[in-house]
Amino acid sequence: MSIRFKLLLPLVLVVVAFSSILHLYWLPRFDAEERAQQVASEQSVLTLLAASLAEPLLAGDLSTVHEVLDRALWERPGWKGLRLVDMMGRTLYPLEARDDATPEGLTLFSHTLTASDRPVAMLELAADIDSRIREEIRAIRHLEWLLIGLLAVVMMISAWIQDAWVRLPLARLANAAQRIAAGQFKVSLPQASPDETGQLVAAFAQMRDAVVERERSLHAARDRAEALAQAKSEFLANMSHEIRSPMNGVLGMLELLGKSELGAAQRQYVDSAYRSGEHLMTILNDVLDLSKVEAGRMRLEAVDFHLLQLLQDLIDLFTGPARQKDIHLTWELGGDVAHWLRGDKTRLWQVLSNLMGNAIKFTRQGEVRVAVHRENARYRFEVQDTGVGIEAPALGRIFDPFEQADSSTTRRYGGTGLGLALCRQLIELMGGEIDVQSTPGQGSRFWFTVPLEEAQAAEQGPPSSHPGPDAPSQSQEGESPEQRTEAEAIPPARVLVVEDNPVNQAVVRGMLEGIAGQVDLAENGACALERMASTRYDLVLMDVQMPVLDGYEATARIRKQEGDARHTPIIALTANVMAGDADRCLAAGMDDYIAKPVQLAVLRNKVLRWLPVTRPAAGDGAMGQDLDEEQLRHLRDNLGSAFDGVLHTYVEDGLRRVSTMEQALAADDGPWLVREAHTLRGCSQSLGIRRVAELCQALEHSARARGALGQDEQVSALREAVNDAVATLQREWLQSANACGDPAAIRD
Amino acid sequence: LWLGVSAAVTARGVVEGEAYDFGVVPQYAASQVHTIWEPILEAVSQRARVELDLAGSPDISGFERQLEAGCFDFAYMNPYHLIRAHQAQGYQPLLRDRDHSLFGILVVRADSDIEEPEDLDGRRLAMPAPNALGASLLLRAELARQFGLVIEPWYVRRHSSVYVNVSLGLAAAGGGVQRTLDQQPQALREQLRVIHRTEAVPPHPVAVHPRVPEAVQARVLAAFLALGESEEGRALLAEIPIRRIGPAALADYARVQELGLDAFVMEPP
Repeated sequence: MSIRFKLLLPLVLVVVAFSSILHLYWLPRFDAEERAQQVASEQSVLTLLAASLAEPLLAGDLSTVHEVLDRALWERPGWKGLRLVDMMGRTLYPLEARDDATPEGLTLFSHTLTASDRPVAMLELAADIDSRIREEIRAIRHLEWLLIGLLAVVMMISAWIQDAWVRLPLARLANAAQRIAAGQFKVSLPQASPDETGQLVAAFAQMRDAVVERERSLHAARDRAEALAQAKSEFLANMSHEIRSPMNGVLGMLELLGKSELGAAQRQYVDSAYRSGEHLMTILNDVLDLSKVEAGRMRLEAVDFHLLQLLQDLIDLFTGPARQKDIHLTWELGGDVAHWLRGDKTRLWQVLSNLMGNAIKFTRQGEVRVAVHRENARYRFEVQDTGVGIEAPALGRIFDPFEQADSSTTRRYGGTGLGLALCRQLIELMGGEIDVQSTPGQGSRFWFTVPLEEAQAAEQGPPSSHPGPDAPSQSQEGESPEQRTEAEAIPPARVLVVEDNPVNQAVVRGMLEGIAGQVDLAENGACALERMASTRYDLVLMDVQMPVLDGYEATARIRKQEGDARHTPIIALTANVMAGDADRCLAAGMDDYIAKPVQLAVLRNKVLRWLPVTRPAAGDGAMGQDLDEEQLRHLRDNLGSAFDGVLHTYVEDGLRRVSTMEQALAADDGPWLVREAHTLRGCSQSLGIRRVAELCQALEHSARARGALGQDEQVSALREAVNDAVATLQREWLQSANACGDPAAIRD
Repeated sequence: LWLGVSAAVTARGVVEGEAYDFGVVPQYAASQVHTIWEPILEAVSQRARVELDLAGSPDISGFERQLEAGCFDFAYMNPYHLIRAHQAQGYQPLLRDRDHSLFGILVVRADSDIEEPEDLDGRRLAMPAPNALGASLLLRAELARQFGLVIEPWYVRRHSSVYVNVSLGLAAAGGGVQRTLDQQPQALREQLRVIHRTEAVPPHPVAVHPRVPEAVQARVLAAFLALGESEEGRALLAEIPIRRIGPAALADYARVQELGLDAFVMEPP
């Protein structure tokens, strides 16, 4: 019900009530009373008239009688007929005998004339009282209509006034309120008239101002808080850089020291120092990750990864520590688990390695078991151990930061208590949940579920053994840093190290010794550009944070300088572990990146991968051009029984990818071609299948620059190279292997 | 009465010599009498250079008493009054209508079985008043003397009432004069039938009291006759009604005296 209607309702009710009373009560009553009064009045007039007639009538003066009656009829329009009848029934008046029938609606009166108490005649009157009353009622009706009309006019005026003064301002105010609710604080309010509506508008305006003011202060507070968080985050990032740079130096120097001639005790000291440094880095990473999550700056990435490979890498990572403590590592995979998944592999790795690390840490002997099952769209990961278990009261706090089962745990097992907090943060960030069941003395079972999509491309190549950029995967590779160094054939390459920190310069230079022919140094991006203008380098190691010209900008300029003519591999050295750094490096035109502190094995691995493969290899034989036998051998030693599986997968994948590239060529899909070439190059480089890698790289570059058009020759050359490599692998390497295992067989 | 006269004198203001009272038989209502006679007396007064004041009478009987007492200097009256007034006071007729004569009529209902006066024997006869000259005295005298009838007289005050009563059948017949019958509405007249007329006598005279000087009488006579000369004067006189005014002499009314109407006059109680 509108406010107009509500305001007008009383008037309408008044009109209705007025009409009702008038019609239902007053008019009938008026009618009755008026009729009674008229009858009485007519009767009395008739009586008077009769009285005046008696004398002339008795005298026989009928003419006078007639005159009196004629005049009475003439004077009273309501009198429609008079009749005087004598006692013998003779009509004395009127002269002409009229129709006796009384007309409709007339009221009859009669009066007996008496003389000396003797009736002498009867005077009869037919009077039209009805029409007179009707006339009066009609007049009242007219008055009523006039009144109703007046009220209608009053209502219209009132409605108009209400509209103008109340309803419209209110409607405008409501409209303004809705728009303000929608966030448009600038809307104009109706003009404030000097009445209650105006007060409402004024109060509303005040409220709006207060809201705006509050919103402004809230925004300001939020901005301040965000700025503080930003500052904290910046501070942490800077601290990361500042701590990592010296740590880089410390660890690098320790690693170099470990390679030098040392006595047994000294070597033990160095190892201890190195492990302590590593532990410090882990803690630092945890703190940084946690603060990143809390600052909301942790960004999840979605990459395709191979679940088996992930698990295998994890098992591999913890095989050494587990063996030392007589712990049996097993894993189990649900039947409906997809092998290729899409998600943040790095964070998944981080959580799993953390849980497994804990499991091994808190288990003296027995079993640590990793299981993956699918629950609809989610994957459930479980890490179960036969360790000390956790007391029930501690279970609730275990995922809080800086909490461990009890304070004595810290003393006995070490750790900051950040690991599980970080795990929970990461899992929740991924939209999953994490929890634990534990029986003290019997063991714990940590589990988490995360939503993971199946990788979109139906056909996936073999798992790339190319590890993630983060610390865990680095330490996975760090497991056997020494094994490769001596054995590998080092091409005499010229490498430029762009780094502003002298300690780091020394560390990197020391680490490159033996794999690079000549190492030049540049203090910043500008110096690097100068050097590259005059000298041709096979590889550039580029720090990203430098004075004068930083790594991103320097790389961008180098790429611009090179154009399509050449492509010098650039590997970023970054202490910035914040999410997005890797993307930013690649976006700037870098080819790969190494997280600081630089570890020898990682550095060597990356450098070897990116040094141009066209360089004459140290290996002998015709195959030397196409296959790096050293690398293959090394892999076979490292992978053991899994080697055959890997090779097998590569053979299948390589052939399939070349076919896919041909399809991409036919579809004139440059990015597709680039993607396939890139993937195949990665696998090939890992296995040391150089010819294929080289062709892939060339194809990748030219397709990136010119698209798919005109790449037919390169693709057919690649097809040939892959066929050759497959033939060689099957002949020389697979035949020599024990068996062609399926992926499940690669389990230890 | 005298107050009224003096008031009239003052109002008129044409005093030259004496003022004279002028009486009129009240055949009509006083107001009607006044309306008819006032302009006539005014005109005559101016012309005759005397003051004539209209003197009122309550009714015919009162007039008759006043007349016989000699209250009026001049008076308009019926022929029988003249005879009585002459005998009582010596009034002399001065003027009368020369065209007109007065007679009574006998009316019955148009559908009545009464064809002649003889049929009325013993029946009720409505008449205006006992002493009305034409409608009562002349008629009754004639019916009694000439036809030897005995009727039941019923005096209903007015000529109109006579006609209404006859028309309604309340009376077998009625007495009236031609002039009043002619004045009745057409519808009423059509219901009536005249079955007899009485002997005619000269009409109403204006008579003068012998005390009025001859000169004044002459001037008044001349003034009245002068009225008859002009259109306006005749129109005024027609109201009385007098069609053609002329001098009257007592001899004109000898026949009325011969009729011996005194036997039929009924003195009021």
